[in-house]
Amino acid sequence: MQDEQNDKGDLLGSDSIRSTGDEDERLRSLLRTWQVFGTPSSLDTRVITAYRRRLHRPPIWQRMLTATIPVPAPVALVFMMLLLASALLAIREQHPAVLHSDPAAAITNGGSLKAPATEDHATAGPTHPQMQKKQIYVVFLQTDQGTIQALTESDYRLNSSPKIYVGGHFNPSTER
Amino acid sequence: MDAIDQDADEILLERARCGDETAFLRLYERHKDPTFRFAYRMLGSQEPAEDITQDCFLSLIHHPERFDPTRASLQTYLYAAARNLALKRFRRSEKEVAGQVLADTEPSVAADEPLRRLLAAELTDEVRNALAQMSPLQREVVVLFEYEEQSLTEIAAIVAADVGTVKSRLYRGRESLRRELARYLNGGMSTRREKANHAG
Repeated sequence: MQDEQNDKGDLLGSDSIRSTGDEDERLRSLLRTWQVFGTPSSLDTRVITAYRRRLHRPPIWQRMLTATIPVPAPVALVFMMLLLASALLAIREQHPAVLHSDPAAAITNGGSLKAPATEDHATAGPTHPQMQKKQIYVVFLQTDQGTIQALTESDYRLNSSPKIYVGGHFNPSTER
Repeated sequence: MDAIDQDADEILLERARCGDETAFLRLYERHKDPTFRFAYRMLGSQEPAEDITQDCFLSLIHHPERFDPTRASLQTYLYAAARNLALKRFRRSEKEVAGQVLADTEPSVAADEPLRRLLAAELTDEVRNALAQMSPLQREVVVLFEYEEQSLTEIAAIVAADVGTVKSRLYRGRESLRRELARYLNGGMSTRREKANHAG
């Protein structure tokens, strides 16, 4: 309290702060014409309500369950489209290489080729010389490493682009 | 007198934080008027002053660590909190607040209202406008010193400045008020309307 009086006395008594006492008093009384009365009752209600709400706040897990996040519609649309696109990509990776009518296209793309060969056709090859002169329709594949493979009903997955011989006579001695 | 009335602010605050609504109400009743008055005079408008007062009291409950009773009294803390929130509002929308001040100061003139009340309202508006013209840093010091009757030391703690700075701001603020209100200080308390009547 003593400090306060000293502060005010220092301020009011200092020539650097004010010019005359009368003028200062007039200014003070003029300022006091602006009266602010007590807080409005609406504020009392607001503060008490906010205090109660703050105290009785539900636990965080309960708030998380009922929490909502407002997202602008364009952002939500883009997000959904990205989600859809990634789902489609995942499905395509699980079911690859639908066979083309052109087997070469499927093979050169590194896909698998299912040959509709019968047992007769599939047994042709250099290890069966008695069948060399027989006209057969069978698919032989030559890989880049020079090995020749005949397609059976099994699927072949090729690592490099093959040469394909479809139809016609196959003579291993000349083809080599 | 109820025993709770005599409790120190710190005790009431501790109980309020633990959910004692009576203690919170007691604290609120003790400090709401100065806090609201200060916010109102800083912003010149009722609604933002109410918002600030509410935020000040709720921050006591929500962020108890911010108030250190060893450094300042609770009322000083509340003034400082209100001051920070008011300055934040000034920075955010200074023009908007100034517009509200001017809108609020429109005197409500009724045909059968006594002339004296009209004149008093006009004088009040002049004072409000003069305060609104000041910079926020000068205004807070003038409001705290002239209206809230805080000491220079207390004001220095509230505005986080040294006493010399407070004195300087107070001096410049009062000079600014003298310039703005010169016609009322030099010519007594007559208002523009009275002067106009005399002139007429």
